Amino acid sequence: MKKHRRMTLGRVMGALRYVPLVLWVAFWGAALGWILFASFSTTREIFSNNILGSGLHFENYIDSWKNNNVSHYFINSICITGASCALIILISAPASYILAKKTFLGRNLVLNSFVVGMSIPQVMLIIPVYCWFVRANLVGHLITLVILYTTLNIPYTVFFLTSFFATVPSSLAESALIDGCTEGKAMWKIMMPMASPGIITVTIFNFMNIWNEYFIALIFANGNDKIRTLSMGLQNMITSMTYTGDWAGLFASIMIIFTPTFILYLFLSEKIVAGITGGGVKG
Amino acid sequence: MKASVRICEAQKRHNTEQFGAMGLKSPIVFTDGNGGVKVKHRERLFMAGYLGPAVLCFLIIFAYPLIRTILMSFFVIPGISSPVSEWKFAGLDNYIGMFRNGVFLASLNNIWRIWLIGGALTLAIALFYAVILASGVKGKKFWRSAIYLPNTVNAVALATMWLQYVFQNKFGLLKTLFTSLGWTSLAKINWTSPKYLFWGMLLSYVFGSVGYFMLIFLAGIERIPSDLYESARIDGAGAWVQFTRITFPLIRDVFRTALTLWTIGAVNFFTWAKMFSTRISTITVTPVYFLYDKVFGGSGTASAIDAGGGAAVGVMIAVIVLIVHVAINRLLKEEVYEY
Amino acid sequence: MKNKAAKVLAMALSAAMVLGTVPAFAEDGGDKQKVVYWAQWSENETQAEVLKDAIARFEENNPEYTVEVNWAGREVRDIMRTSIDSGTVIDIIESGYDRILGQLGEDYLIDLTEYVAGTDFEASISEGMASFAKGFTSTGDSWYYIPAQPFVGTIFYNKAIFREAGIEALPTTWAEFMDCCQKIVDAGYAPMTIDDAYMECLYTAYLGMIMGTDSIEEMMNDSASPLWDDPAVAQMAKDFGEMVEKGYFAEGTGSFVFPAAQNTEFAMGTTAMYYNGSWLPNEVADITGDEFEWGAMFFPAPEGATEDYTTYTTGCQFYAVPKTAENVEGAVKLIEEFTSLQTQTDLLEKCQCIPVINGLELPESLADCGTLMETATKAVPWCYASTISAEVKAVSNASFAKLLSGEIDADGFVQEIADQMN
Repeated sequence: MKKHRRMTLGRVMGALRYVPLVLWVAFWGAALGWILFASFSTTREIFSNNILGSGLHFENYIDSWKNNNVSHYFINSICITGASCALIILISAPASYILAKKTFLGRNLVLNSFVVGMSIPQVMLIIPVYCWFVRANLVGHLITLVILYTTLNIPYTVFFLTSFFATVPSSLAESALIDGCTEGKAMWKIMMPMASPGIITVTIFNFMNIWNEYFIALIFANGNDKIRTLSMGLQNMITSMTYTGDWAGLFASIMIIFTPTFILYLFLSEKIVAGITGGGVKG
Repeated sequence: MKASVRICEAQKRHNTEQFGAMGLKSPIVFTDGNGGVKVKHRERLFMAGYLGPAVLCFLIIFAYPLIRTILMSFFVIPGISSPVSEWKFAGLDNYIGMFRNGVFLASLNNIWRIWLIGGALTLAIALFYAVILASGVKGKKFWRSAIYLPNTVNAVALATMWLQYVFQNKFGLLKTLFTSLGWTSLAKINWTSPKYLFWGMLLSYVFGSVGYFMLIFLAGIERIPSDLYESARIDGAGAWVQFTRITFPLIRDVFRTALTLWTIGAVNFFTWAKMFSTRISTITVTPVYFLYDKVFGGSGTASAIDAGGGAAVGVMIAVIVLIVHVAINRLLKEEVYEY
Repeated sequence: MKNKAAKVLAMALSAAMVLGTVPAFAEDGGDKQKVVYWAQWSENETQAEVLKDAIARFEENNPEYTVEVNWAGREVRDIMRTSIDSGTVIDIIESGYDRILGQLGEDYLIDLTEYVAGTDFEASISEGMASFAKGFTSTGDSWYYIPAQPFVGTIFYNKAIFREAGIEALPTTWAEFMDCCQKIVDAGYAPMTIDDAYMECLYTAYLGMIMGTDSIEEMMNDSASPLWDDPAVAQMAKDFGEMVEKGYFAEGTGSFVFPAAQNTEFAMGTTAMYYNGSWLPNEVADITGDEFEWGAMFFPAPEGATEDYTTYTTGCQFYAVPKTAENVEGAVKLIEEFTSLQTQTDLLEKCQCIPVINGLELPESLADCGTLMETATKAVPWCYASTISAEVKAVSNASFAKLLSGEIDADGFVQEIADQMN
């Protein structure tokens, strides 16, 4: 009898577990869904709570795209993120290889410096760095953002990859060395491919950070329309649409920025989730 | 919030442990066969060439600016790119001025509440969802991706969604929802009013952060062997007992990591504050916003670019991070459970 | 596996090369002289459309020049000083007069007096605008600042609502203003509202009428100023507190994040009055449609006012040529095109801008603003202060918002100001 009651209780509990999950999805579904519908309505309809009152207005999308440099923002973001992610690996991977596979005086000092570097708030660094870029007349160039995103993400990436290289056995590389291969070649040809799961994980991670980055972009790329990233471009579009009272266009711009990331996430969510947890928790 | 900072905290622990272990069993080293580690000249060049760029980047972007910011905080500096010859030594004046500044004090008051209340909410909700997901629900992968989804959305888009729709006073989601449920007192809340704007900002930030911490907790919980739960179930332990006796103690470590990551994120709180008040306001200002406004932006029209004062705020933020780090490490000592 | 590493590398190298060779999508100027113009408009605003036409005309008439525009948007104000500090070549910069004065000023700009002499611009610019812009210079008679778009700060009102409420004469004193509000409430509308972005306009307008521009300038730049203890501050809080109590502010006022009040309250026709600048009709044109009946009035004189009722606040967007300019002549020629009859007419018709030259008739939506300017006895800067400190405003606006939303009363406001202004 008692066992029976436990069973039903268990079943009820089992079903109840889904309630918070469904609520979460319902909330975000409602919010994003409304914005989707609003982006096809007119501004007056939005304010009088009568969205889609006069059918679908695709022109919101066409106007937002045409009147803003949206394609430019996308190209900027892709260039900056792609170049930074690649450069980070190009600089970090060799360093991690040395740190993982060699012993030398000062190795712990280097490792510990990187650890400390990861905890330093960016605001502590940004004032002198900005001053340099101002003097070098580099503010207003895409390359500035690439330099910053690359260097700022190096300590973490070196750390992640060092631990990864440490788990990759050296025997293959060693035998290649005996066969007369140079060590550099052995590292790039043998060790790097073996470390590629780690490289992919950390790159997904860096990609997510840089793609949506706000603080650095605001300081270095906000005022110049040519180098605005997606974050800055969207902010600029939203600001100007509040001045022109174009709410429909505002929601359309949000959808324009949101959709590609969303589609990417649909296909890669497993990899992304694995990348985040792989980087975040030990084991 | 800067995710890499959040993550690196955990990674740091991971690595120090690993390298600690490597220190005991000496790592694989290429030697010349004489027993000692004798690095040849060519190899030394090779190592320098491979390690050099990373170290150089670090020195240029981290070490030097760090020292320079600390120095700047003791000077009065007329413009952001003023050469050192134009700096005037000011002793502790920048720091004293900072603590006399009503806006900075307001920012401290805000950041403290963001850290404590926002942290409690975020970690609790994240843990709650992680426990549900780990309990063997159907379609786990879907739910997991769905809960993490908001974290992938651009913060500018997300904040606009909250401000222009969810919190909207006439046709907003919350207004509509509470009205249709008949919860009139909740429906009456005007989330963008001075009284609630801060809480609105905090709520939307929490909702945007839950997914990430949920993933961290979930990974922690999934490492706990299932036979522990099985034997508990045989002993007649219910869900709550299982959580308090098994799950929570065994993810203590993960919890500590999450707390540290939350702290770093909260101290650097900026994007949402900027989105919720395009012009600096005591209601939503945070230390980073205060610094940004002092040094880079001007929400005002007066030309008060104060690089020295900004540097002092930066140093304060770093000191706060340091203090909280030490406190967390003291209070939540690492305990190792064997399982 | 090998391929992956190779791909990463190839990606890195090619991306680095692409970035190295085309920094910031540099445009090829050829042999032409370049004029670099940093606009305070975003590309999707109507002003940008008109200016693009003007630039096209300029390039056609002056084939030796080519114009490079950075549609920086309002953010230009945050970055112009550091950009000029860092030597960025900008031939024309455009921003609000308060920003240009506060952040740049004569030290950062080129004196254009010689360049302007004898041009069409000097001949056609309206006298009022010329004296306004010259008045800010140290000599009082130089051209550092070129008027781009003047604006008037005023209480806009919905004439249809005023008619329905039976208001015949516009209020000139605070007591009449209160009567007027009551009539609007009785007619079933909300009398007044304000957005967070313009919070300071309301209380500085009130205080300015009593205390004058110098005092407001001091208060808004120095939180330690003893003027914050002036009885006028308490009187202001009391009067606005009373308006809140009587329901003279639309529900939610104090909570509106720009442009919520402007769009959903005033333009949608549920609230009768809204304090703003003369750019307003253009900003809300899509929402109001053509039938909206625009009215504008002077700020009613509070008790103890030292300024006349017929005082109005005004300001102007300025063009200026920074020290880092490389093509001053081209810049002045482009400015001439911007202030030409054709461009000014376009700006007036498509963006409802008040022109800087004589002889153009204002659109109906701004007719009242024109009357204000003509009948005014005194013009003072926007918010009675040529510059405002962000930090002072952060404190006073937050408290004023609380007062308007009813979270604190007049005494609470005075208390908060006393506590936080130190």
